[in-house]
Amino acid sequence: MSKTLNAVCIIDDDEIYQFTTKRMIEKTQLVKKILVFSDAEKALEFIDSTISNSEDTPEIILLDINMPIMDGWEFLEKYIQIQPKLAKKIIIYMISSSLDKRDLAKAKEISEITDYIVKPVSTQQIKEILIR
Amino acid sequence: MLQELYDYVIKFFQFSGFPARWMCGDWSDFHGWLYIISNIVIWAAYFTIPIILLYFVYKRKDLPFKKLIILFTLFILFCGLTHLVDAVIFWYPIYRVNAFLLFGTAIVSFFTALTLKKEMPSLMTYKSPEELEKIIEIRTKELLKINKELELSKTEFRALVDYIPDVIVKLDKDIKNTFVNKALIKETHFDIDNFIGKTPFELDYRNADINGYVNNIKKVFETKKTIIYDREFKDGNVTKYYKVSIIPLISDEDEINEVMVIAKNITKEKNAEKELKESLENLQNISKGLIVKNKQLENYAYIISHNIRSPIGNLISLLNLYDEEEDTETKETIIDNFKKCTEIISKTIGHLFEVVQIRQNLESEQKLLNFEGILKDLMTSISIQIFETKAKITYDFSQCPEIVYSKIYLESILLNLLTNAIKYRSYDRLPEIHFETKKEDDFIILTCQDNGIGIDLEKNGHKLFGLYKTFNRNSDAKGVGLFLTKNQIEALGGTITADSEVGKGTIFTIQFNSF
Repeated sequence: MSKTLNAVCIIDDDEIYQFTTKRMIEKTQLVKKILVFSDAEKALEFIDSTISNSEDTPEIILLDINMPIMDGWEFLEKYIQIQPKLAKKIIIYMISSSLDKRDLAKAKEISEITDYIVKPVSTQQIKEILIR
Repeated sequence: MLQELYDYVIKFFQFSGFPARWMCGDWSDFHGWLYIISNIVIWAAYFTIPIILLYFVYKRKDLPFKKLIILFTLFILFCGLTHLVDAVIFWYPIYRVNAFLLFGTAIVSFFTALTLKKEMPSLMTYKSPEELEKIIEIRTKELLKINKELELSKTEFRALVDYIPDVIVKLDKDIKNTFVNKALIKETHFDIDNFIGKTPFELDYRNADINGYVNNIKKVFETKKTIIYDREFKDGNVTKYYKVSIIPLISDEDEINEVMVIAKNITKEKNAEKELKESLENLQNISKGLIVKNKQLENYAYIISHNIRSPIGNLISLLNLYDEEEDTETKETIIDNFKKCTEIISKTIGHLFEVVQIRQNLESEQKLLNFEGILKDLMTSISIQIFETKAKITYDFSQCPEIVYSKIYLESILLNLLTNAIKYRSYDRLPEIHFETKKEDDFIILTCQDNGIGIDLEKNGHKLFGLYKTFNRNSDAKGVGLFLTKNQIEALGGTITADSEVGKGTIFTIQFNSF
């Protein structure tokens, strides 16, 4: 019996990707709540609000790089600032269709990122992420 | 002895002690007069000959051995005198005078003989007329030979100087032409006579810096050093260039009486140099342009591949889901999403095509366009939007009403600016949009100013003209409009910039290469 996760956060502006990823996570039945954000700023606001309510803080974030208004890097910058206030550390996966070595190298430098995954994400990969 | 000498001197002119020769001996008349007449004739001859010789010497001042001849003259005169006295003694026995005369004659003769002996070697070398004639002949032959060689040399020089395409001219110290070669005559179409003896000031040199030329020649005469410089001639609307060398002609005694000027036509080389420089500049510009284009292409490749890979990734995920899905409703949703994905891919390819089209349409027709006309047409086409948003659109194209440009591009650019201004209007006030044109140096400047919501250029400036880079939650914001506009402007050599204040408005400035 694997541990069930409380919440997983999907931050990506691609609606169809939101749909497929959410569906894949649902099928694993390992997560109680799946939170979907098209807007990284809104996601930050949410995480900030859970400081007082640490139960609601998601355990895992699936973060996209290329988003309008605030992209993945900008999100991380802001996240690093509020991270010390959080009760637990969030596991962040950077998920992008970018094959650019520069993006990969940049992700490696940021310690908050657990891994960099290239889209499309397979069901198997989702399972592996959640089982951790 | 001394007494005899004293006696001699005292009685020098006296007859004492001596009879007249007639009385001395058995002189018959015949014998006596034979003796006397012979002596007189001898004296006459010995008198005449020296006179003739002296006259000869006097007349022919160039005669050699003058000294010797004068000595001979003296010698003969003295001898003559002795013969005269010998005859006179028949009546007047001046024996003492006679002795003295003989003594004088002896000295002169002896001296003459000595001198003759001394001059003998010299006399021996003296050439006879035949010998001299021979020598003259030989010398003449030699001279003729040398003359021939000189003539040949001159002919060769002339041939060389006339064959060379360079202009060769010689000038003397008065800066007058002493020699010109055929090349000069060819270049100017004048005759030789026009040049010889004239200074450069007197000749019809078209627009050539004559003062500079003459000053340089004077300098060469002074310094005896060659001067080489470039000279320009304007022949109508053609400019000719020459490399002029002014060379001092210095004699063996280090004197200079002439200079030689060689002028080489370097117009071709100079023009080639100019063309080369221009070509180089062009190449550099092209190279710069290529680097920029290359960067742009890299950007497109990155952007577009990302925007195609994403939906394709989604298609794969959707297919996988579909296979495992059991719920019919979800299945339908999956198919819907599938369709959406393919639409996105299709659109992206459409944008890619548009970008490529812009590049290809560079040679598209450019004609004289009227800003006001085009803007009015566009306003008509979006009249509903304008009415709904109550947008107030003004313009002032008085400073520059027209432009030679591609109609499609200009329409696209203006429409994009107009629709953006309306799209990003402020809800606090009625939208006011103003277009204006003006001319600056060689450029036509078009500005579009609105009083909309403005842009935070510090934050989003770098995204403004990027492809798919949006920063506004406005659902209409696709991140394509300004990207295409920028490309259209830049494809024809122009630039676009934006200035803005959040909450106040934005002004876009386009600089067109004017025609």
